[in-house]
Amino acid sequence: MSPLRPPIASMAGYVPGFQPPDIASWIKLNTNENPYPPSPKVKEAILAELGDDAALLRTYPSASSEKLRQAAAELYGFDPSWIIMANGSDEVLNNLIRACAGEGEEIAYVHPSYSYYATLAEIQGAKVRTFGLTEDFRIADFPERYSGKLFFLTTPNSPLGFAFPLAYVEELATRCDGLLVVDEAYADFNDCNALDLVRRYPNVVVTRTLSKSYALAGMRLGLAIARPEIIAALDKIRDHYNLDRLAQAACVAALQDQDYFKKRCEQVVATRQFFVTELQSLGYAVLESAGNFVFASPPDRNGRRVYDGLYARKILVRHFSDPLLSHGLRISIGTREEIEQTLSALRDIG
Amino acid sequence: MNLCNLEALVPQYVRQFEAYIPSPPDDELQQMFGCSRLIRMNNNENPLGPPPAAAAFLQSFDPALVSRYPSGDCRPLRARLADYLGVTPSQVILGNGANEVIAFVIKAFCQQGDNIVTADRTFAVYEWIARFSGVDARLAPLNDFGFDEEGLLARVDSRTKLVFICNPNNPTGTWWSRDRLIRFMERLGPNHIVVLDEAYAEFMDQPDYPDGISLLSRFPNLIIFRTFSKMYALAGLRIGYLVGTEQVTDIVRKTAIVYSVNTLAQSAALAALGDQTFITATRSLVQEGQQMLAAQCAELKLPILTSDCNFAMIKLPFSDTLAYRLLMQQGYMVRTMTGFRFPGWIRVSIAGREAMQGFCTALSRLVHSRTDQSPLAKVYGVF
Ligand SMILES: Cc1ncc(COP(=O)(O)O)c(C=O)c1O
Ligand SMILES: Cc1ncc(COP(=O)(O)O)c(C=O)c1O
Repeated sequence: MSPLRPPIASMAGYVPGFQPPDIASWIKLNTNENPYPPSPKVKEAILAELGDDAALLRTYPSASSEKLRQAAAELYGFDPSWIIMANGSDEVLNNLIRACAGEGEEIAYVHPSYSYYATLAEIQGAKVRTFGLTEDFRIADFPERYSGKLFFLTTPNSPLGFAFPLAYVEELATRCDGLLVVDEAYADFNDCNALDLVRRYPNVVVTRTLSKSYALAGMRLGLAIARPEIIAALDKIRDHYNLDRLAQAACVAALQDQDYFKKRCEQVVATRQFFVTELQSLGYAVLESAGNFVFASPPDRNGRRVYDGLYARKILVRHFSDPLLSHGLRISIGTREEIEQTLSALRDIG
Repeated sequence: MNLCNLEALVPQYVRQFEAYIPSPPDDELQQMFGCSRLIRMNNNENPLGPPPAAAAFLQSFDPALVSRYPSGDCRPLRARLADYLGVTPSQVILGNGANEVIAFVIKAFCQQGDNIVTADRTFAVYEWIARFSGVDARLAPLNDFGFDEEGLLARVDSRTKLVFICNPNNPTGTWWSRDRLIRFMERLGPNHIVVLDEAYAEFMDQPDYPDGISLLSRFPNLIIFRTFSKMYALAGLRIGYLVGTEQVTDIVRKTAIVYSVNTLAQSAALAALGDQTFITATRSLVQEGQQMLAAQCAELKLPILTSDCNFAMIKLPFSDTLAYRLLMQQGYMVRTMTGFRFPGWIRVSIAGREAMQGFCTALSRLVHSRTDQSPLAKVYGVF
């Protein structure tokens, strides 16, 4: 059969990470999820949406996600016209490429960071350029003016955990002809963010997710904040009913329970600090992290060996075979108990 | 400061594309039209509400479940669907509604300069996604309200990657029989993908209605769409899927967005699948509703297109937008069809028995008020 689009036929496609089938009996520290359940208000809101007989589910959800936009607008201090809600931030990342980069046009991102940008760009037929990092975590060889359509900047960076200083992000905004997409999936675990740059620079877009800090990875909720013209362009090409009823209910409840949210973020950050100190005392090289994970290398710089040791003890972490990263591991911050068990496994493995 | 020039940034085919304007929420509409309650008969939703097993699962879900990512490729649900449909799990790809899988397929097969072929009056989203992706949509007029084999074939050329056949067709309810589909596939040949959108397949109760999946071994260039939004009454959860040969799904999987179906939707769909009691109950409710509508239209001498599907089209002797407004004032929301190239027609989704009775009364009142010099016409003095 012949009707393939040649670039697609040759692309690798994204394969979801391996999950052991008995995952419930594992300590799962491989995808930067939140170890805590979401706010109890989330379950209440979902049950309220379901009612006695879940009858509402027969009907399509709100196409405009108005209540979510309103809740996000209040929280972040923007007019709702500056906000679009998405089925995970993945959806809005995809739609940014769909809206801005035609076939053969270029987008760029930093390596290492979130490689799904490249997959999404390939799906749209856009060209992908990657920029490396310098020793002091700046972007290597970034041109004085970058003329690509989109530049994706993950900050805090995953998998390394560092965050770019805001002044540097701002400088990058002035050097991009297209949009600077600041992917702040982990910003809630950091002490600063780029929201103010959205107000000040017409080409800055910030994306957020509820997968990490709001413990809602399973509900697929994300958003983007940008000028209304950009939001309008994204809005018209998204699926009309991109967010389901239960996700919409969960989102509003989670965003509105800031007390719970803050408490959980503080807990994760405290556990992260504890973990970093303990890892260092085990001789690990640990990068300072602004996310809900750390990147750490054992003294022999053999990440794979430690990954296997943890795996044998039913602790799942992330190892990247990329030579830039293979010396270490990315370990998500679990509960204090999970991290203590991980530490004792690491002592055991040596 | 850097000026961001959206004109330069956004490709022309995206800029040209008009945004879809969703209908306002119920409370706003009620206020706008002065009705005390609103029955939506505009989205082809199943009035029965989801199958009991889906509702039961959701009502007792464990919140700790949702802090984890869902299965990125819906593994457990695919396994169950594969079993149910008699295919392998790798032949099934799920999406956030069937709407999302349309984009997967277009992205997998079309680049700029390619085209898709479909009917001019069918589910509009194929055409929309093609257009904002820079892909030409060639539309063959319906013939006698059905997909026209000749018209479609006449529009196919070497750049045609996909032919979308909505079977049964939304909004007309017409469908191709098995023989007709086979003849079309044979005439078209193997060099184009045919997407058979079977969003309403589970409503069909006709011996020669083709199950597209059973034709995959004969026509490996077929892709079948299905959804949990219609028969399974889970429109609110956004879950649909496609089925193809592995050769085809291995390609489409590359353009599929992973993790796009959330945890609760996956589990609810799994619980709902194959509930025959529920399907039987829905079918008989829909048949009854269709009969009621048909009888009412016969009495009012209105042309109607009925079928096994949970919607019908009715032709009015006056404008559909006017009908919309006047039906809204009585609390019934239908779909106007002018925008779908059927001026003067409305599409009505089959609702529960009581709502159908109410709608029939409202329709009859509307028609009489337009055609008689009855006192009601004076009440609705606007026309
Ligand atoms: C940097 C970054 N961006 C985006 C995402 C995707 O987030 P979501 O779950 O909202 O699709 C992730 C998830 O791991 C991420 O690490
Ligand atoms: C023919 C057809 N295909 C697909 C869909 C989309 O279904 P879903 O709700 O799964 O996105 C619809 C919905 O109205 C439809 O009528």
